[in-house]
Amino acid sequence: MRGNELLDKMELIDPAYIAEADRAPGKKRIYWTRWAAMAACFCLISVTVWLWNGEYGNPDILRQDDKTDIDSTQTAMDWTESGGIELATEPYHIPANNGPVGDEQSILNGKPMISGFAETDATVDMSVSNGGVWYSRSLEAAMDHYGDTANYRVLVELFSDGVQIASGGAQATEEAARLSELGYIVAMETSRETVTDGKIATVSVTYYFTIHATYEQLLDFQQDGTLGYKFMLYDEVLETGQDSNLTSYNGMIP
Amino acid sequence: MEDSMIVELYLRRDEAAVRETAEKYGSKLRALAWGILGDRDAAEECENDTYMEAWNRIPPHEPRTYFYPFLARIARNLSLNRCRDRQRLKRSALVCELSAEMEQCIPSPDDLECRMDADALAEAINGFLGMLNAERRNIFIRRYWFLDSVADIAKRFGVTQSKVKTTLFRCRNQLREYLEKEGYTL
Repeated sequence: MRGNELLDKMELIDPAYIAEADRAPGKKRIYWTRWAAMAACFCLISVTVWLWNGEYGNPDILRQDDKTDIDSTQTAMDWTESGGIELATEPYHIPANNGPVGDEQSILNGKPMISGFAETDATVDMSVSNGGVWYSRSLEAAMDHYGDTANYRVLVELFSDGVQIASGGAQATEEAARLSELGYIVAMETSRETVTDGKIATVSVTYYFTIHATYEQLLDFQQDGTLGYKFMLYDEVLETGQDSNLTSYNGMIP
Repeated sequence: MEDSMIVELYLRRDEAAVRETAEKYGSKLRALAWGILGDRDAAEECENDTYMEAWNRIPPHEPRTYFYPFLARIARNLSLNRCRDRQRLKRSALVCELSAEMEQCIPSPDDLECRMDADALAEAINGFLGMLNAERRNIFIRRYWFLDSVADIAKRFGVTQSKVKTTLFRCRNQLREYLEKEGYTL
């Protein structure tokens, strides 16, 4: 069965559920959001007026506390050490309850990059039909866990009419260019292996199509209808940070 | 007029049945068809075809307690079929998008022949929906039954589009896991 047919089969949903969904009212948020906005504006104005009075009204109030008395000769760090706000000096890491923290060397938008998650079963050996996008269990679990607080390093396998196409081929390269134009960060990584048989050395090259994507980009993946996509976390197939034979990186950064 | 009385008119082959149906549900059926087809004329044609189908199906059906879902289902099918016929050469973006999303729910999307009959599939889908809380179920149905856009669903439920997308993503994954766990193969 294909997605198209399953979409048709949604007609089998119980009429009671249909009626419930048809009745479901929209939440009336407009009133409370309007009041919340007004309250926020009032608070902002109040704080501004208070500070204004403090600055130009009664200077003694502000300067009673030594910690806020900033001497122009002090550096920001000195001021920090004297009791001001503690500045973050390390990138924020999301603690990984399952699996490794993301690859720190590949960070988009200041968020950590997730390359691996919990141990999973071996990747299902299956094809994906045209227009379909399939997410591995590991990737789904990672997305469910981290949501939009992280970005994801994903290995992509492409299919055309149910047959996997070579990642290093013209069709894959074309798809990589298309995704790059749409704002995805795309990489075509290669692995070279030399096999020597007597005096003859043969070099085999394996290509890996990867994308570095935000949570939203994965949810809203803009697939080409003539291709099928299988998404897996990078570490399900390759190992981040290993002394690997990934010797070249032809990133197509937009 | 109450739905049961309108159905009674159909059963008596009274042409007032169609008039009453149009008066009570015409605009909703037209809106449903328009959401799929994006064409007012085609939506009106689907609406009229829906009345004709309802006339042909009642009897033997007697949808006294679920009359609107009965009509909406006809309208949905007619609209989807018309959408596919009209766009034979150029696939409808909406149908493509939704079909691709549905693909994620299928445990093993390959070329195996469908092994589930309609009753088993209905049981599976409804069993899954019964497990969801009301909000998730309604969002799922608005998307894959009523074919609403993500923006419309977000507006209807007063939530962000991001929340709708996340909810749908999780529901699709859960449906797939449910079908696998229960031993259903598609």
